[in-house]
Amino acid sequence: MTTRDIQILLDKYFEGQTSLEEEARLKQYFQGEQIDPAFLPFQPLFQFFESERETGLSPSFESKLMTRIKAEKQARIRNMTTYIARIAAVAVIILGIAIVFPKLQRPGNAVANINWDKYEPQTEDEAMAEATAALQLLASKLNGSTKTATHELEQIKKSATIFK
Amino acid sequence: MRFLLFTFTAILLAASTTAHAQIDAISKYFSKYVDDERFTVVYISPKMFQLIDKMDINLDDAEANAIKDVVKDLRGLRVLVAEENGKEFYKEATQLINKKEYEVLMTVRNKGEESVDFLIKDNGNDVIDELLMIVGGPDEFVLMSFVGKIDINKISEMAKAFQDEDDNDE
Amino acid sequence: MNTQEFQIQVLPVKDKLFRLAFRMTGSALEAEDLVQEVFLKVWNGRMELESVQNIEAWCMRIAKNLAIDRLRSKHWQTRTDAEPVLEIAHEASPYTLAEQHDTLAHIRQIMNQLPEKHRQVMELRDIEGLSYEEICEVLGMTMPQVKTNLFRARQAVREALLKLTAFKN
Repeated sequence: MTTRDIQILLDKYFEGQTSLEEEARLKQYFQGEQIDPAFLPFQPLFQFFESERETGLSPSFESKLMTRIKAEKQARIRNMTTYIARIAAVAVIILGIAIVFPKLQRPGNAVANINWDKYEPQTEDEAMAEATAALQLLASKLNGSTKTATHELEQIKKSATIFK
Repeated sequence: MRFLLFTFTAILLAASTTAHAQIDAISKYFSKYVDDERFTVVYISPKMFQLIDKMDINLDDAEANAIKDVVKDLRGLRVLVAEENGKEFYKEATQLINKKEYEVLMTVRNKGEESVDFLIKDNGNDVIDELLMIVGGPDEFVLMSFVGKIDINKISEMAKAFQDEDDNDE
Repeated sequence: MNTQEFQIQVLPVKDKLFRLAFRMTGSALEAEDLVQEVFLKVWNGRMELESVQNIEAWCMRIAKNLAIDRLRSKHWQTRTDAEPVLEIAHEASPYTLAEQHDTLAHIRQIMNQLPEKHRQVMELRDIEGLSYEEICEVLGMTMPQVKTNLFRARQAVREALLKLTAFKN
């Protein structure tokens, strides 16, 4: 690079017109041994830039940071597992209660829940009609066989009263 | 602390739901057939019986009066009817019934064609808790459960009222 | 992003961050702590990194903002700490500075006397080698603002350097 080239670059530089690549060439030039005396006043500036770039973090920084990041990661996983464990524990308790409670109340009577509502008449008139029909059926079966049916019913009722 | 509170609430919730789950004997037998399409199912809830009780019905005949008299003490009615395979269903139902829980009130057999069982669950006096009727004929199966304060006197009166009307008709 | 990718893609910016923080806070300890905070922030929000085009500039912007926050919260402290340095800078004449033969220290002082925005732009360009776009992103400036600030900074430095030489000779 000729002195003239440097002069042009330097002028461009102080005008704020240089590209990163041109700035790199200037820096390179001022790192060299043979510098035109005319440019010596500017040498410290470019040396300053170079020396500034040398400052940095201690080599142990990265390993310290990574240890901390990994520790945080594990702490998070731990937190998550304890959280999941808690939920699981509660679920087990609820399940346990749901299974054990009915058994305690009625030994050996685990029964599926029936949604009876869907078989219910919509109005009381319908309900009354159904109830009447059911009772008529009951009565007809009670009577239906023979008079002994009613008779027996009376008999049992009487004996039940005697035992009271 | 929050965890404890949560657990406690969970326990309460679980306990209350199971407490509400009414697991009576009839549910046990009905649960076997309830979703079977061959069956007709009727259910009347305690709430519906309360509504029926408030109904203003003018009744002058004995039959209707007898029915009303019984109905006002009922809390629940469940009926399961099938019009086929009656004998099989009957056999199954009678086998399923816990003989310790129910007392056989009466068994009727009509010429070997039809069997009718009346079972009761009582509290030691003549007011019974549940009356169960199982009918098994060649083309008919009926499982009927009346729950409530069932008075045998009233039932027999009702049965008589029906019989009298039948007699009058003849 | 796993820790390995983090080490390859993000960590290399660490010295640039450190210098930026150091220049702003004036304390190496504080700067190191700040850089760590930046990286922990970036790591914890690493899902966002997917949408970040220039990780380096993004990190530097976070560092700059964090430094500003810290300076604000420690406003009084920083001012009292910084004062003696400023006094030297003001009292020392170009002649005595030249006599110290510590040419790099002169440049630092010249830089320190620049208005903050001028200095920041010039540092990011000439020390860190950032493109104009990157400087825009880090400092939150528009392109014309960056160019004007850089022009003024370099002009001022040039004059100071020429003055220094004049005294020397």
